[in-house]
Amino acid sequence: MTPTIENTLLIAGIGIAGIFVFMAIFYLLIIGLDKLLPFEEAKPVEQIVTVEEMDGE
Amino acid sequence: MGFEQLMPAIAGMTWQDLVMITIGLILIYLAIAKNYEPTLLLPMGFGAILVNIPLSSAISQIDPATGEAVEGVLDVFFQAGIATEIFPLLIFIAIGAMIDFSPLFRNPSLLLFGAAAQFGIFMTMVLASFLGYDLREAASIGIIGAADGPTSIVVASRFAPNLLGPISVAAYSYMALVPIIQPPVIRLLTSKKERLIRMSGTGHANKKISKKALILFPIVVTIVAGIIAPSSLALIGFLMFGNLIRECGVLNKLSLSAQNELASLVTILLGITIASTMTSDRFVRVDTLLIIGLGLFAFVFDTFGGVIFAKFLNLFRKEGNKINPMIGACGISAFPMSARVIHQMGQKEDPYNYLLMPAISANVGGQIGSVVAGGIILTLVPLFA
Repeated sequence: MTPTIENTLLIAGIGIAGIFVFMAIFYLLIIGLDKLLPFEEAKPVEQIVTVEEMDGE
Repeated sequence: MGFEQLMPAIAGMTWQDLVMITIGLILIYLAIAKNYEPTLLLPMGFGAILVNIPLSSAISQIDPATGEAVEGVLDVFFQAGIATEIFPLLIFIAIGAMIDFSPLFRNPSLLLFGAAAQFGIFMTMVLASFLGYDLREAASIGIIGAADGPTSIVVASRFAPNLLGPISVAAYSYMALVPIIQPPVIRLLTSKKERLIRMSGTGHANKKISKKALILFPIVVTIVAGIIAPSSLALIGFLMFGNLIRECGVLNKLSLSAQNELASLVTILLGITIASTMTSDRFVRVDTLLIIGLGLFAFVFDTFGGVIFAKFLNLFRKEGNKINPMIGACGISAFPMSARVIHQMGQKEDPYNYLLMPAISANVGGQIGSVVAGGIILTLVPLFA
C-alpha cells in the first residue's frame, strides 16, 4: 500500500467521523436554541393599544 | 497569401477542438432541451465553444503576428474570480439567503443524514488514490460527491486547478441527473416494506420556530465551526452570512438581491469562466472520462451511505417510529431535487405517504453537510499532502 493510499484512508476515516461530530454539535445547537428560545405568539395589536390607553388614563 | 494566413482558425483546428466544440453543443442542448442545470451548463457549454476555436481571443494566446502574449478575458476572470475563490464564495452568500433552516428545527435528528450521505466523497477519494491520483487530486475528485457545485469548485481550484473543468462538469451534470441516479440505487438497497414506512411520528410538521432562534443559528454555527476548523470558515461563514441576511428581518432588500441578482450575475460569470479550463489539450484525455466515472461512483455511494445509515438507525427504533430509509438518500446537497425525488418515490409506493417534509429536512441537512465536508477536506488534506 502506497503512502498516498494510506493517507487517503486516514483522511476518509477522520473526515467521516468529523462530519458526524460537526452534525451532532449542530443538532445539539438546534435543540438548545429551540429550548432557550421557543416560539411565542405575538400579542395582538389591539391588546397593546388597550394597555397603552389604560396607562394614559 | 496562403490558406493558413487567410483562415488561421480553420487551418489550426484539430480533432480535439472539434470534440470540445461538440461537447459544448451537447451541454447547451442538455441545458435547453432537457433543462439540466441550465444556469451553469449553458454558460459552460457556450464557453467550451468560445475557448476551443483556435486563436480565440477569449483565452490567453501568443499572437502569431507579433509573437507577443495576449491575455484573454476568460483567463482574467479565472484569475480574479476562481483562483481567488471569490465567485464560488459569493454564490454561497446567495445560497445561504435561499436556505430556510426551519425544517431542520422541526426534525433536527434528520440533520445526521447530511453527514451519512457524504460517504461517497470519501469512498471516491480512496478509489481515486487507488487509481493513481495524488492526494490533492483524489480529494478534488471525491468532492464531486458533495453534490454541491460551489464546494467542488472551491476545493478543486485550491488542490487541482488542472482538473477543475471535468470536476465542474461532472458535479453539475450529476446534480441534474439525481432523479435518474438515486431511484435505482434506493430500490436496490430497500425492500418494498421499508419504502412504505410512513413518517408521521417523526418531527412536528406544523411547529412554529422562533425568529430569534433562526437568527442566532447562523451566528452560532459560524463561531462553533470557526473554533473547531478555521479552514472551513470561508465556506461555512459565507453560507451562514447569506442566511443571516435572510433571517434578520431588516435586510429584506439585500436578501432578495442575494437570492436573485447576485446569484444570477455570479452564476453567469462562474459558468463561462470555468469553461476557460475546458480547452481541448486539458479536457480531451482519458482522465476526463475517469473523473466523470468517479463522479457517478461518488453520487451512488452518497445515496448508499444515507440509505444504509437510515436502516442502521431503524435497528434501534421502535415499530411505528421507524425512518423510511429512502429519506437517507436526501442527505445529499442537491436541493430540493433530491427531496422531491424521494417524495415522488414514496407516493409511487403508497399515494397516501407524504414524505416531503422529512425529505426536505434531510435535504437541508445535506446542504450543511456538503459544506462541512468541503471544510474538513480543506483542513485535512494540507496536513497529509
